[in-house]
Amino acid sequence: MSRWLSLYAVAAYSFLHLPLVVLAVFSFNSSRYTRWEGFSLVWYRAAFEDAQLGEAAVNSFLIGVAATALATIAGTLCAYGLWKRQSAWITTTLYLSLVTPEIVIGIALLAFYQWVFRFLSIQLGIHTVILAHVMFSIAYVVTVVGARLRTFDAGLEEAAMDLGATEWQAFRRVTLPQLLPGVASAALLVFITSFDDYVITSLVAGVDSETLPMVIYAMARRGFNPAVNAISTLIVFGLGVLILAGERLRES
Amino acid sequence: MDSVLELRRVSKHYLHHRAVDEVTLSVPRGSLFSLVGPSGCGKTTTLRLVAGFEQPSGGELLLNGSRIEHLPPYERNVSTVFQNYALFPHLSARQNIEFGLRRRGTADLDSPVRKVIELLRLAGKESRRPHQMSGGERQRVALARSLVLEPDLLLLDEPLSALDPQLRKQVRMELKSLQRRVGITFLLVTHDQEEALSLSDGIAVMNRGRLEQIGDPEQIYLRPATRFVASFVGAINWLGNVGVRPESTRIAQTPPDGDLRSKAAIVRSSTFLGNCVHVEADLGDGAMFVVETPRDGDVFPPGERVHVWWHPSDEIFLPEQP
Amino acid sequence: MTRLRAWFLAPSALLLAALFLIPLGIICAYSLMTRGPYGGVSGPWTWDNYARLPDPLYLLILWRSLLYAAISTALCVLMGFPLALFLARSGHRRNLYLALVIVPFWTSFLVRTYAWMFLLRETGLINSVLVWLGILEQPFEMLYTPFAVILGLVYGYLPFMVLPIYATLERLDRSLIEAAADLGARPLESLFRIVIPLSRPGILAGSVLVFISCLGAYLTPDLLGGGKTIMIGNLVQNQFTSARDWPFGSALSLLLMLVVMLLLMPVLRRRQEGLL
Repeated sequence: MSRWLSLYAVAAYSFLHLPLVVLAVFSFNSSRYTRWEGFSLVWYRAAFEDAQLGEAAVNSFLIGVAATALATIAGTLCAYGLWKRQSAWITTTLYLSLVTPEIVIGIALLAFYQWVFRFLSIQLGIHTVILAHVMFSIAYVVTVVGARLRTFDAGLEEAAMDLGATEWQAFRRVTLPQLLPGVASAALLVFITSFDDYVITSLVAGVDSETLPMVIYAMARRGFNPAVNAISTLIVFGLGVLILAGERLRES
Repeated sequence: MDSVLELRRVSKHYLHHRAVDEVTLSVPRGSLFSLVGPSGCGKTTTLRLVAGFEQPSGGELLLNGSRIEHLPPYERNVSTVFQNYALFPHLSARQNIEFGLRRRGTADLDSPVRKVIELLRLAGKESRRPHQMSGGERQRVALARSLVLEPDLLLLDEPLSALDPQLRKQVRMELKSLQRRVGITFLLVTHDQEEALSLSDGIAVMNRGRLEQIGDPEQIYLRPATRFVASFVGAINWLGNVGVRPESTRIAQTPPDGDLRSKAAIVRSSTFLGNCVHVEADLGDGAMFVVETPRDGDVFPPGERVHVWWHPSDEIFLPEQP
Repeated sequence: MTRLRAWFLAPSALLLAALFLIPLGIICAYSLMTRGPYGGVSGPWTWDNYARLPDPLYLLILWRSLLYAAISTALCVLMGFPLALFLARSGHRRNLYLALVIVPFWTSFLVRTYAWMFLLRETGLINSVLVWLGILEQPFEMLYTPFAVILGLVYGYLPFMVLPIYATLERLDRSLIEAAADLGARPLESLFRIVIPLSRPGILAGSVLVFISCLGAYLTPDLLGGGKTIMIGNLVQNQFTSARDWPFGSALSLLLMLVVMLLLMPVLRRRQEGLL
């Protein structure tokens, strides 16, 4: 049976990876058609010279960094607070935010922003995207950091306070350093999710805040463009490295 | 004597150590035989080799005279009672007991199952799931599940270790009488020498993957073949090449008369053990000598000069290894 | 540690209240209001939006969403269980094999969906290869079909099935499998009598995760179904963008939420096993 299982695993891994491998291979094709005509970096140059893609990449990066910073801080503090004592309200809300379909989160935020804009003279833009990303990322951070806290010995904090540390000092000097690998892996997760999100972002982005997934989506809808293969390959490779780094952190 | 199981120079080597090293052993039919030794001595690995969960690196395994080392576990007519019992949690007691018979395609499940349920006093518990049973009940289901298959050999891996200490002595005796009634050969693994001595018809003592001695309980205790066996099966004081057990030793203020061995000593401490008192005495060379004295006997305060003595016939002569 | 705790919880609680609970509340309110003349939302309060849901057109889309989600979930169980079993038995290289499942899962969902567009197009690689091999005389359109949508859903959410099943298989006491073999069960019997029944919690958790993800899918039917095989997620999005009927879109999204919540009930009871 184990031989059949290994054979099956080869097939399953091919299914999971071949589409991305094929995409990557053809991003180096000199032809724009699905016929191999020689190695070329022409589509990478096209992607880099595309002003719209460049601007979108900068936006995505900025949104990713800001959302990661805010969500990681808020989520880590929240995980710690919940570890001290459970709160059914917050836990249930977090869980709900995790399982609500993206499209529902997107339209609900859109409706909310439009409602708020009646009273404030602001518009959709990078800030609304960042807030949206922070919202759906908090649950990821709480999950990852919370998992790390479950293996943390509460006695260490008691020892710190017994030695004269205040509550805050005990958290800052004893608990937080122990949590850092979990916090870092949560931050990577948030960045990846933020960088990749299309469904929610497309609903709450303004005209000046197009992100990379939005541009790729538009190009993919418009018709075949090998520059999309090139930029996709770069994204897969970049995110892949981040994910592997995150897995390392989580195992440590 | 006719043997059910024979091991001929059986070895199991892992990358960095030899878990079982050339063990040769035969288990007499109808006996209750124990493999005993400290943890990591290879006794459990030996059991797993017999069950078929591990493949030997060398040697031969014979069940009723036929080689079995190439057979998978499900084709060997041996059955195992696991240390944690390994009852299937999604099946009731009865379904656990029927499991093996169903795999064999036995047509009449009812009568053998009923017989074994009665034998192990499980009537009324048939529909319980493992998590609804006490430790003792779980153990009896595990026994029933194996015995209903009437194996040539029943393997028991530390069968008493998961039970409460109070229950252990009682179950020990039940296990022995169960074995006598069903007549199936039991091969039992334990790290508890007292358990092995009290239960077994035959004992094999293992240490670091090797067999140290095979014998009946009396031989093992009174005539140990190696210093390891002598120390493992009970407390012992060593004086050079001679060992003497605390319970064979006496203590007195004056040196004894006659054909007895004695040594002058200074009492260092006493330990109350409930049924007796152990007096630790210094023979002058720094070595501690333990003497078992009756609870209601004389009291020997620390610092008192005394004589310890014993009969020469109680001495165990085992030269120190070079 | 009771004084500081409130401060630790406050940022997340505020963010979740403002950006999740209040927006959901607004959707609830909108679903009971009327579409304004220019696409806005206005009074009076009404149940009309819910009364419109049983329209055959919308029922068809709802039915299609449930059907595609069910087919995709079934395929994910069939494909995911053996892979999880392989992972659980893969020995010292387990972390590598696990990473090989997780990495494509987290790399851009959009790019992974796009990769299938690239493969399935009429002039895409699969058609080219099939024509070149002589299996097909002419390329045919595989993209924008129900097949493409279900393929995309299975591809997108397979790891949601594999990881929970793997987690239960990994916790499975090895001695139970040994006991089954010891009692005479052959490997396949032991698989069906012991391993599969005992991994039911993982299969259930994975199935619910995959099913609700498929049910709420937007990107996959949009890109691989090309507007021909729209699912409920697309219908919701459509009401908020081109159709500009926010009240009806709100009612639809609450219906979607309701179905998701009902499906989650059995899993919520097992929450102690962790969120994923």
